[in-house]
Amino acid sequence: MGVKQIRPARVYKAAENELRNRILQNKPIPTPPWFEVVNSVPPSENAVRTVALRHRAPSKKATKPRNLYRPQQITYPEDSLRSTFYKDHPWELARPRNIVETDGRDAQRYDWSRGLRQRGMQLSGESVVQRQLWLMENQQMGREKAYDQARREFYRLRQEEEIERRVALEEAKYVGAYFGKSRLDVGLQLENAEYEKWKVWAAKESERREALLQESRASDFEDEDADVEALETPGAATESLGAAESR
Amino acid sequence: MIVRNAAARHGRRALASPILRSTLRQLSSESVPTEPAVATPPPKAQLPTDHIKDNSLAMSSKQLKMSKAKETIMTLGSNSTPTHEGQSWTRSRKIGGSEELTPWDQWVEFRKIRAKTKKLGSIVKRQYNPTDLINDPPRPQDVTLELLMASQTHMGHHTSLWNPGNSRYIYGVREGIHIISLETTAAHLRRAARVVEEVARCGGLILFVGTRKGQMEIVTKASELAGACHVFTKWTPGGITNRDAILKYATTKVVDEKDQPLEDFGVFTENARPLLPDLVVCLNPKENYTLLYECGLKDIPTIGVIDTDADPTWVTYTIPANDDSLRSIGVIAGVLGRAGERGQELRKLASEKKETIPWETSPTLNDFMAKHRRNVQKEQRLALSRAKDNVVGFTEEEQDILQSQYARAELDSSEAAMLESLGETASVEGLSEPTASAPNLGEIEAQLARVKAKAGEVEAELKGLNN
Repeated sequence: MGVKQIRPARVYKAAENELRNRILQNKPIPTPPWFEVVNSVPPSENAVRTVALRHRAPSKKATKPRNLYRPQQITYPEDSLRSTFYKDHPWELARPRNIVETDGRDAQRYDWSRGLRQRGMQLSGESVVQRQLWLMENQQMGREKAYDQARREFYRLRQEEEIERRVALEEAKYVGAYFGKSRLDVGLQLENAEYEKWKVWAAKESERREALLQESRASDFEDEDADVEALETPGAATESLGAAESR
Repeated sequence: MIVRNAAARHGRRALASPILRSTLRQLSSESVPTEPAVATPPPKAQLPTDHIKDNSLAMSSKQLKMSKAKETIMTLGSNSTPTHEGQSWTRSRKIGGSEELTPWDQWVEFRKIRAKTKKLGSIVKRQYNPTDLINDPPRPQDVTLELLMASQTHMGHHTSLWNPGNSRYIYGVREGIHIISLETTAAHLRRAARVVEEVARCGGLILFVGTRKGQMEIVTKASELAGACHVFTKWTPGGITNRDAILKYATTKVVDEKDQPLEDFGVFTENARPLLPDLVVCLNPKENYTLLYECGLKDIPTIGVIDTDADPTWVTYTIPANDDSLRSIGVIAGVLGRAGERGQELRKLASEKKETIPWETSPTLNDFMAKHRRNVQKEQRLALSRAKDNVVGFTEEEQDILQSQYARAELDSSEAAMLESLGETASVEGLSEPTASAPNLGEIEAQLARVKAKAGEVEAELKGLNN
């Protein structure tokens, strides 16, 4: 298992040999239906190892020959722009994004000269990056300047979205929509319920403790009944106190 | 200030205190019936336990639960003031600053608004439907690099998992994974599609294998299109090299050039060896090493989807692509299925036009047919000789009468004539057209029967004359 195979690539040769040299002289060997096909459409070579595709000249430090066969890193000019944007706006990554493609031609339909809004594409950090790149390439803007412009357009559109959402909410509520409690409200409600429970429990607990205290006190007094009786009379108390002090 | 923020800032204190009427008005959609300006006193805060204690005597546990749930529902909304009376829609109320509307008026108003706003807004359409790929797969000529990229065929495995044999198919490294060159994928896919088409045209038996989870539908659909066989569960080892034991009870059938099953091959199909595929399409070669090895032993060409971690030498024709994505596999298997479909169409067209058929009948089947033909000839000869024996019973006088009356029926058929007729039947009759022999035999028998009947009549007449 996992061993290199030589037979699959030599299927045609093997079949040809078999057809040419019959083992049983009077037994005919049928020509397989694929025989002519494999001859006319042969498989591509896959035993020879080729040098990896080069996107750029290899680095001079990497002198080892094995690096010849290693595929190189693919880089695009957008990469650094993208990383800058998301470093500055990390919460843009938390927004849900639709990444499924239908025919893969979406990018051909976008025109970044018209601004950030593109038909069939959500507003996201990617729009900023593409717009910035377009500005840099077509309007000879510097990286920073293009970033600032694209960013400003982006903020404006996000603000618009936010306002639209708020207005829609108000309208909906005005005509009778009810969205229930927010997560925060639900959390607070649960917390309140816990507090209320605690209140009941605390009341009971304090009652119980009070009773215990009372009980223990009573038992203490029972043990030292004589002392209590002595204490009940003010004269004796003072006497005993005086006695204690004298001790 | 927004109430939500108030809750966030002041916490439970803000929420625990009775909410202001003004706040409530803003939030609530219901109009509170006009009442004197005196604010209703906030409901006395009751501990839930007290409330339950009061009613617990009269209520069952179920009722208790329900009342509890009801209480939570009532207290959930911030607009749940004590003005709840029955269902909200049963009351008349003001909507949008208009007159007070009864429920019926509200319904009428709602219908009006709905009719007016019906055509407003955007239509939400479903852009991507995954089953479209299975129901209507692309043809080989529809394959574009964009389609392949959208179907994720370019995504390989982590760079540390690669098989260096695939370096020629790899475009580069991105985000830690190898990216398969889309041009290579497209070229190899077209080549494989061509092979499938040609093999189908030549009447070869194709086998589609995809044993990963979720590949069942893809594999079955592709094989249905290509008129092929499929495997979507584990490949039984030895299904090719030890097929006499493993496929002992598998049935075979003999079909004509229009794929219609032929009769009279019962004896052959009972004793026939299990069939071998002429081409195997494997969608996950990594899990089907045994199958591919067996194909190699039996010289069966194979087509395989080779991801960056698979070994390209295991298959004859490689299709470097992502084999972990069902969408990618769906595109590849669909294209191959369509190619097979095209090949079958071409084959049927050629057979309709009576062109030369590009496949050979297997030697075992030919042997069987030759044997069968010999048997039939023997039977014919027997039948003829029997007929001759029957005729021999007549006297010369009778034969003269018969010949004079029925000159066409050559009853005294000589040996040479009989052999000639036999040769004719043998050349006409073939098992690819089994019906051709039946009318010949039938004709002869019918003639004989007629002659017998006539002879009987003549005899009867003669007897009558004699008497």
